[in-house]
Amino acid sequence: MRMLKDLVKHRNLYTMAIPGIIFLVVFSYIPLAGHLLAFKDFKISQGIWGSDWVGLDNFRFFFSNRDWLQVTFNTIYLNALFIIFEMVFALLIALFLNEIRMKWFKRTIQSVVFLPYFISWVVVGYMAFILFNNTDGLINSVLNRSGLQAVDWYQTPWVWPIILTLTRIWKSAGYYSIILLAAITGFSADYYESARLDGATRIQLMRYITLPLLKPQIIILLLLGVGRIFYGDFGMIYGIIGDNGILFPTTDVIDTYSYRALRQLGNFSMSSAIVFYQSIMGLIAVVSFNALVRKIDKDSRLF
Amino acid sequence: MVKSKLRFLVTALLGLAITLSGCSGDGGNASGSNKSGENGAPSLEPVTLEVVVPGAKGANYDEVLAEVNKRLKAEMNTQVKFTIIDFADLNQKTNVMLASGESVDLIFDAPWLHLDTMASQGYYEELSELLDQYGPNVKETRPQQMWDANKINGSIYGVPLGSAYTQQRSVFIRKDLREQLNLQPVKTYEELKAYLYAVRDSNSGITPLLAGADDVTYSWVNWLIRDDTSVNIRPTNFAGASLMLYYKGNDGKVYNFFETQEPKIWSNIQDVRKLFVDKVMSQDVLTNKSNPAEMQLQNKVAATPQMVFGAPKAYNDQLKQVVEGGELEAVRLFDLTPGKNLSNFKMDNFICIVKTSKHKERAMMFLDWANRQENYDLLEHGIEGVNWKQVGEHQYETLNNDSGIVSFQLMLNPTLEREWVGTDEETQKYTQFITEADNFTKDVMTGFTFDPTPVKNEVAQFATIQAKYYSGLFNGALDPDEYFAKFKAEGEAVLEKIQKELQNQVDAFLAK
Repeated sequence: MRMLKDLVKHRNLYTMAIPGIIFLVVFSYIPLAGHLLAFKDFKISQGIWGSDWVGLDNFRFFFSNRDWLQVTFNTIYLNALFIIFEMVFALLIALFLNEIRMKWFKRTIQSVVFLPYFISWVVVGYMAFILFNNTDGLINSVLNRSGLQAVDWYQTPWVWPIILTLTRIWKSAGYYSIILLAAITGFSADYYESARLDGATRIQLMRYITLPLLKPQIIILLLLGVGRIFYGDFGMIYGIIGDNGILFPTTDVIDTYSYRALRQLGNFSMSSAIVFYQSIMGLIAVVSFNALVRKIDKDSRLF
Repeated sequence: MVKSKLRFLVTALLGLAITLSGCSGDGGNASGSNKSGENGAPSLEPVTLEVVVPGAKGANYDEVLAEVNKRLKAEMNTQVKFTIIDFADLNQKTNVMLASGESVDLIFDAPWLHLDTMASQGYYEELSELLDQYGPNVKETRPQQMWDANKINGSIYGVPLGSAYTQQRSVFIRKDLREQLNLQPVKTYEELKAYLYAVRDSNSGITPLLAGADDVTYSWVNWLIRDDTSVNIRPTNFAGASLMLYYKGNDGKVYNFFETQEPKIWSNIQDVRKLFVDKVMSQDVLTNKSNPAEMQLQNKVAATPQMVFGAPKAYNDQLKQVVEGGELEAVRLFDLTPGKNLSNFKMDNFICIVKTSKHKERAMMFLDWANRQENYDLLEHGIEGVNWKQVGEHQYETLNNDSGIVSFQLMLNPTLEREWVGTDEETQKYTQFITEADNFTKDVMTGFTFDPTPVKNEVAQFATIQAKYYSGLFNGALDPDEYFAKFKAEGEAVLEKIQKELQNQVDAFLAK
């Protein structure tokens, strides 16, 4: 009853939520039914219901080979690196931008750090190739000219988590910093004024006012990141690493791995099995991270 | 010339007459087996066909397509829309298109892509009836042996596209560079290597050799093995052109490379490793992001494997714009002794009608239309009198650098295909050799296709293991002494299961 009253009272607000809800239903809830395919021998000619149930058979190719541990680890490890470093750099950028008083300068910097977000991963892949390749790569040319030993970048697996993380920071830290900056500009000026009256320095203002006030935004961004920690960024990894087997030990993620396994077979059910695995693990990750947040700070939890 | 125009006029008039009589006669009696394929346009509802093919758009793509659609509109009230996909994305994109049930009517597929698996999973329509009813020209332009050899489990899931019984292939090198380096014309692999090393030592900044690691077929070892008629090793197609399971000679046996470590393949692997270490093979062979042919035309690479017997004129024109006097020549290692090469008479490319298509009849009518000489020429060479002109019965002369929009992706057949008038005699010798079925020994595996379903888990697994090592080993980027053992340790058990299943299917096939 109270809910109904609330619905009537705030009908305008609720109306505005409708497009978002429709989007979620169409693209997130209805596809949940697709998980069924993971347990069927799906044939397009027989349809979803006509195809046979096969139990866990579709999971066999993934779990009966020890590679699944490696790619799962890579996925989590790379995503953790991305989430942490993106957040740290986004925070730094947001805090610094907030301190800039010259409007035109602030705007320029804001645009410059935001810009890479719009470059497609395919293009980034080409850029990386121009930088790191062995024939006429920019970096090796510089190394050679300054008398240093050139490095076979594309044959050196251990450097790629670093390169990928740097690329991610360059590409999306600016984007997240804009979100944080939007929150910062909303903070009441009263806090800062009274702190300044008490003689707080700029660093102290950041440390004791801005950061604590930003906590909810940071936690939500982290939670969203953790929710997708089992989904490798296919566009990124495939765009930059491609089919270079030498780099797989450190860069192959669940998505690129299953793509490679199944592109010859084109099997729907087996790819659904992988997605099912990722969804379940993602769900576990979100629930446990949320529980952790609840313990630390009850008000910032998502649910 | 005059004669051909006349012939065209006569067919056109005849077509018109049939069309008219079809309408004015007793209504919808325009029978399906109408030879010229013109089934009274007005009675057909308007349809736009979606066609997905690999390749790239030429400069005059729009003009040719407009002419195609003009003719189609008049003849069968049909429009056609091409989606042209770059080869590098072909596998991924077609997979997704089929899997997601996107509305596509005609799609290109091939044994080296995923024809067998897609067909066995029911993505493609069985064509026998459609061919009988709507595709007389499609049928007649291909000999019966071709239809027989290109069935999958006894059914026709795609129209075979090809005009020869094996692929054309050669290695393009630079004639001008070779002459600068004072080398004689290259006839053997040893001479080719001498050329490559000479290019390296000339310090011109040009990479001597670039194979194509993203497509296993173009891996250097695969490329060399194909032309070695002393062993007749060929891929089983259980995982593209991978040689990890191969046939050898004509004994109907499936060989496992982990088990045999076949000396011919192994020595080639060691050989290409040496090329890589000596910096003859591009150091970026595994990561290279541009098309090897393109890089060669930009004067960055001195040799690339190519699927033709002779360098096309357009290539040489393009190269000359980059380097003055630049000229390509083809090194052909193909064995011209009759009977030495095996053929399963299988075509490399197919055009398929998608099961979910709503316009299957029209799609076949369009194919039939495309397999008539005047339309075939338009699609392949462009507009007559502007882009090309006819010479003799089976040749053509280019008038400018533009050509048509599709060929081997849609309608290529031995009956209607024309040869370029400027093809040199030597190249012609090769191209004509491979169009004669009698020059080939029949492969015992002719007509066999592997059904991977019983071992799909193993195939998927092996694909990921192979992805780590195959291209690296077969193009020299990985040290065989170290990495082959790793490859073997990871892949041996899985591959053996696939081998057993494949051998069972082969035995069952041969017993029939």
